[in-house]
Amino acid sequence: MKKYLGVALGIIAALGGFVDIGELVFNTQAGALFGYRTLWAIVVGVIVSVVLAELSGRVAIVAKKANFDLVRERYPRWLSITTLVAGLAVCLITLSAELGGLGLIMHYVLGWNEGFFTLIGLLIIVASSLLLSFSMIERVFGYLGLGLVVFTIAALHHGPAWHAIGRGFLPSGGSLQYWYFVVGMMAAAMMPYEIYFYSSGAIEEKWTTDDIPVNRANSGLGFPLGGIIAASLTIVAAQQLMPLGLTPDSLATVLQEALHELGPLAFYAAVVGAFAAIGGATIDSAFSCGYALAQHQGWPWGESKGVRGAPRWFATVLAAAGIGFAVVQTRVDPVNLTEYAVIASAVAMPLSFWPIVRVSQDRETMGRYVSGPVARPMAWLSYAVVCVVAIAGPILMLLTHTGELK
Amino acid sequence: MVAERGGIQRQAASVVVKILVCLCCLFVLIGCESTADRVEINAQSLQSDALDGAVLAGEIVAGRAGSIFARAHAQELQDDTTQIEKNVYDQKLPKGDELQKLADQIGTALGTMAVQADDVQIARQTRETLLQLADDASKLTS
Repeated sequence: MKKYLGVALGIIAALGGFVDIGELVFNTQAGALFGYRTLWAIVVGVIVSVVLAELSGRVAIVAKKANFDLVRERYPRWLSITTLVAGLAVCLITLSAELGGLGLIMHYVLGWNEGFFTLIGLLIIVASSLLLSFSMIERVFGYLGLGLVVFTIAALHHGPAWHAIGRGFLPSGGSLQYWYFVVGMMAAAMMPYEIYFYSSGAIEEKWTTDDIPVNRANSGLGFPLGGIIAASLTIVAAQQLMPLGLTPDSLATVLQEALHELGPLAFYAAVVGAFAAIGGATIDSAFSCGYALAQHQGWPWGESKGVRGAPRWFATVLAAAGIGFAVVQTRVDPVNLTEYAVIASAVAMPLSFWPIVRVSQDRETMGRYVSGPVARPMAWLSYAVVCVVAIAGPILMLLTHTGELK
Repeated sequence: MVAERGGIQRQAASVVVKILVCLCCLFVLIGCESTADRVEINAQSLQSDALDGAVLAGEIVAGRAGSIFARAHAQELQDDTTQIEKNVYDQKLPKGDELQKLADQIGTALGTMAVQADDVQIARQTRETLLQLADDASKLTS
């Protein structure tokens, strides 16, 4: 019974933690511009993220190696350093965007200057990483992130056009701008920091082969349920913003949708959900900087080891948070930064995920947990999607001027 | 054997660098935007800011938006229109004067709402003004 409860709580945490600033921005903008027509991109993004998370979790459990342990071992030196630099850059851009978003959310409900709240956000992140255990961090932010369920309620309350929504799950063609958002939504669902964090988390939580079903349940149920929230963001934007011709450039517009449909209580639930989702992602991306560098350099790493057990890992996490804070202080717009973070993530993904895909199919390393006849083609198919997104993302970004041109 | 491997790695690295340089040149070439594009982007952004402000004003009128949120959001939208106004001035666009005037009007309306975020009467007037200005902006996009 206790085990099932643990599995259920893990699923809930994965559900609440799936959405971050990338989904809040990209999915809402896509709904406002194209209605339901980009929903299929969320399905593809979720499937790829489920496959990659399951693979990385399984490899971490069986081989006891996280993402950048494999990068170090499997790549020649120049390629492993390239992958590390790309991974760190992406995590730092993501961290900056999330930290800026955290400051904005607090600014919307508490007033005062968002720069001040970015500092408060930074302190919350540092305090959480020093004072809370790994599983507590994961669960507290994951559970509070469930506040974003108000967007699903708002979509249902508005009276969904089920037929049109159903058609949105079938791929359709469109302008370059449409494809930019399709690629952006896919990339937002499979940001690399999520996989670095997931694979390192399996080792942090000391998962054994007994936890392989837990790994499957967390990734296979938690992520798709999180995908429902992500899809709700698009649906609500299609219902409310598209008829007006409003393309949101602000997180406040996203929160305003909940206010408009369900009133102040839903607005505050959305605020709490967005705060937790963005806060959780900030911690995840800060930790991921530490994971990437420490694993690549062969240093002791992990939140569970404590500051004394993994001093360089903690120092990297704190330095990353400090750099993220400094970037936000340059007054860069977190929403614009998010778009760059998502597209930059797409570019870094193929290098980061290749070793996971390879090792998961290596019978010598994985033994009886090697990928089977279903997991193997799914892994290659997912990797192909990752490569397409990596190539198409930056090209479409330039052609459409970050989605502004049709 | 080791020297041969090192040579292959150097060659591979050189190929990767060449590909990256070519891609950068390609991106710079395809990344150039036309003047008409800039007019459209700025007009669309202004239209969106005006509509967003009108929706916010509607929430204030309906008594749903708290004054802190209303002030913060209106201020944010005003900052955006100010930035657009600056961009339009810097870019010296064909419809620059019209765009600047529109940005100024939308910014003023949003600024009024930001200052008196809990005044329902002002929100009602601002809503009408912003809807009209959004309509004007949409004419510039076509």
